[in-house]
Amino acid sequence: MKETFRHSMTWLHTWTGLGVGWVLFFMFLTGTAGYFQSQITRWMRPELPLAAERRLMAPEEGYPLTQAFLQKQAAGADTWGMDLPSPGVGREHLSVWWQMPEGAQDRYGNAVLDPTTGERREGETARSTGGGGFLYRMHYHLHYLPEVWAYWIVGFCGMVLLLALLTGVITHRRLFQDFFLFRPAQGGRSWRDAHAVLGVVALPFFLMITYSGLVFFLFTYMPAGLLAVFGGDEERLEEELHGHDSHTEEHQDAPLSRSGVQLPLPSLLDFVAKAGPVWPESTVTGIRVDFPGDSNSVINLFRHTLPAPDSERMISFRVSTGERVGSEEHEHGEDHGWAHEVEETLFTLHRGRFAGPLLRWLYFGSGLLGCGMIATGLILWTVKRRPKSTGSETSGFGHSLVERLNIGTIAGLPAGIAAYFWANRLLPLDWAHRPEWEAHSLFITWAAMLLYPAFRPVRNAWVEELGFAAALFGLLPFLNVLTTDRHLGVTLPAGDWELAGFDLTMMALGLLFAWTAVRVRPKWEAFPASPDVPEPVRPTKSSMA
Amino acid sequence: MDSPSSRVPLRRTADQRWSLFFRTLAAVVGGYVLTSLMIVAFSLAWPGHRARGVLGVSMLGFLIYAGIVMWAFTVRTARRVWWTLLLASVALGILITLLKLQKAT
Repeated sequence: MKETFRHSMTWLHTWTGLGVGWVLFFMFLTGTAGYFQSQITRWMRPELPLAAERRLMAPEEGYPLTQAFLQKQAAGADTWGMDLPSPGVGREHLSVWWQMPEGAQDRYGNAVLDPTTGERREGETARSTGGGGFLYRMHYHLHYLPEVWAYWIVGFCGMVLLLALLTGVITHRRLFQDFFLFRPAQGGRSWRDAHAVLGVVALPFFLMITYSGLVFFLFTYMPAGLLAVFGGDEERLEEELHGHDSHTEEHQDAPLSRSGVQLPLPSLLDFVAKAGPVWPESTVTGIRVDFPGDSNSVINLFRHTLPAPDSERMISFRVSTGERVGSEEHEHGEDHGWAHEVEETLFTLHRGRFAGPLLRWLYFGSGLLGCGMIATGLILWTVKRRPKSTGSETSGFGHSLVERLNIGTIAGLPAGIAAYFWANRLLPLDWAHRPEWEAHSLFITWAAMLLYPAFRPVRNAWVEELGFAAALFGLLPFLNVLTTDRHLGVTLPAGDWELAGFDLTMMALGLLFAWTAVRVRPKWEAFPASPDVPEPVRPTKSSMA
Repeated sequence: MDSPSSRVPLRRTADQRWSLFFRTLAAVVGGYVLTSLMIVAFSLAWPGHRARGVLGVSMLGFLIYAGIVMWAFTVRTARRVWWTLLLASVALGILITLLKLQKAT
C-alpha cells in the first residue's frame, strides 16, 4: 500500500503502537511492579515485624504445634494444611487451614497460631490491603471489568504489541546498524533514537514477555486446534499430553477417598525427615494432609522456595505404608514433549518466580525499559505531528487528544500508583473498605490526571503532572515516617533491605520524575505554543526570552 | 518516516479511507480465520502425538497471525488481500475436509 515494504511496516508500527499504547503502558507498569509484589505487600503491612525480628521456625518447632491444634480443632476433616512462616514468599505467620467433609456446617476454616503456645492468635495484627498482588493482578485482570472482557482486551493489546515489536524491528532496523548513533537534544530525532534504543536494548525481553503473555491464555485466544481435535475440551488435551497411563495410574496410586478404616496419624516430623534426603537444600515449609486419621491418608510436603526454576514443589507419602506416591518429580522425569516444555519454559520466564534479587532487579529494570519504550513511542508520535513539524497552522483534534492522553497516562498513571501507596498509609486502619478504596484512589488520581491537561496548555500540563508525580513518590518515605515505625530511620539501621529498598526506590522514582520535569521545561519553552490552546499570559517569561 | 511526504498528514480521499478500512478488516478478521484454519489443518495432519501437535501449532499461531497481518499491509490493493485470503482459506478448507475424511476411514 505504501511505496516500499519498510514504509508499510513503519505505517503499521506507528498506528498499532498508538492504538493500544496507553493500555500497554498500564500493563507494563503494573506488571513490572508485580515482580516485587511480595516486597510491596510487606511495605503495605507495616505492622509486620522487621526482617531481623522475624521468628523463623524450624519444622521441629512448628509442625508439632500445628498438628496438635488441628487434631483438636478439625478432627475428621478432609484436608489439613499448615504453613511455617516463610517471609520470602509473603507468609509471615505460623498458620493452618482445614476443610471439613461436604455437608459440614463450617466447612472451611483457618487460623494463625501463636508460635510459642500453639494457640489461635485472635485478631489479624496487620492492616488489610490490596498489597502488591493487586498491582500484579491488574496487569492481566485490569480492574472494574468482568474477567472475560479483561482477558480479551489484554489479549488484543498483547497481539498488537507483538505486531508493533516485529514491525518496529523493521522500522528502526537502521538502529541495529548504528546502535551507538544516539543524537541527544535534537527534538524529534532524539525521541526517535531514545525510543529505538530503549526498544533494542531489551528486545529479547519484550518479545519473551509478550509472547509468553499471550501463551498464558493460549486456548482462549487460539482455540481452533483444540476445537477441531479435542472438541474444545482442554482437560482431554492435558490428559493426553501428560500421557493417559501415568496419569490414571497415579490417581489409583493415591486414592482420593477415605477407606473408612481408622489409622491414627503419626507425627508429621517422621515424614519431614523422609524429605531430607530428597531435598537436601530446602526446608519443608508447608504440609497438606489428605484424610487425616484414615488409612488412605496421604501427606504432601511442600517447599515454597525452589532451588531451581524447574524443581519440584511437592512430594507425597502414603501414611499406611510410609512409601512415596506419585509426586511431581515422578511426572517431572517423564517426557511430555517439546511443545509442553516450550510452554512451561515460557510461563516460568514470564513469571520470573525463580529470580533471585539480582535477576529480579533485572526483570524490574527491563519492565521499566518497556514502559520507557512505550512512553517515548507515544511522545514521538505527537512530536512528529506538532504544527511546527508538519507545516500546518493548527494541530487537529486527534493530535491534541493524543498529547493529553499521553500526559494523563505517562505522568498520571505513575502518580496514581503512588496515590495507591499514599492511600495505604492514610485510610483509616480498621475500615472495612480499605483495600477497595486503595484501588479507587489509584483510579481516581489517574482519572484526574487524564482530565487535568484538558484545561491546561500542553507544556504546562507535562511539567505540572511530572512534578506532581515526583512529589507523590519523593514524599512517600516522609509520609511513612509520620505514619508508621517502619520508615528509613528504622529499616536502614536494622538492615531490612526489603523495606528500606521500597522507600529508597520511591525516592529514586521521585527524583527521576523531578529530573524529567526539569528537563522537559526548557524544551517546551523553546517550542511555540500549540495554537489550539490559549497561550497563558506570562509577561515576565516572554520579556526574558 | 524519513521521506518528507510521510510527515505531512495525508488528507485521504474517501476511497482511500474505505480501502484502508477493508484492508484492516481483512488483516484482522480474515487473518484470524486463516490462522485458525492453518492451525486446524496442521493439527489434523500432524503425524506424531496429537496433543503435542495441537499445543505446538497453537502457540505458533500468534506468529502466523502477526505474519499475515504484516503481509496484508504490504499488498498493493485491499481487493487483492481479500482474494488471497479467501483463496487460501478455501484451499485450507478443502484440505481440512480431506484430512477429516481420511481420519474417518
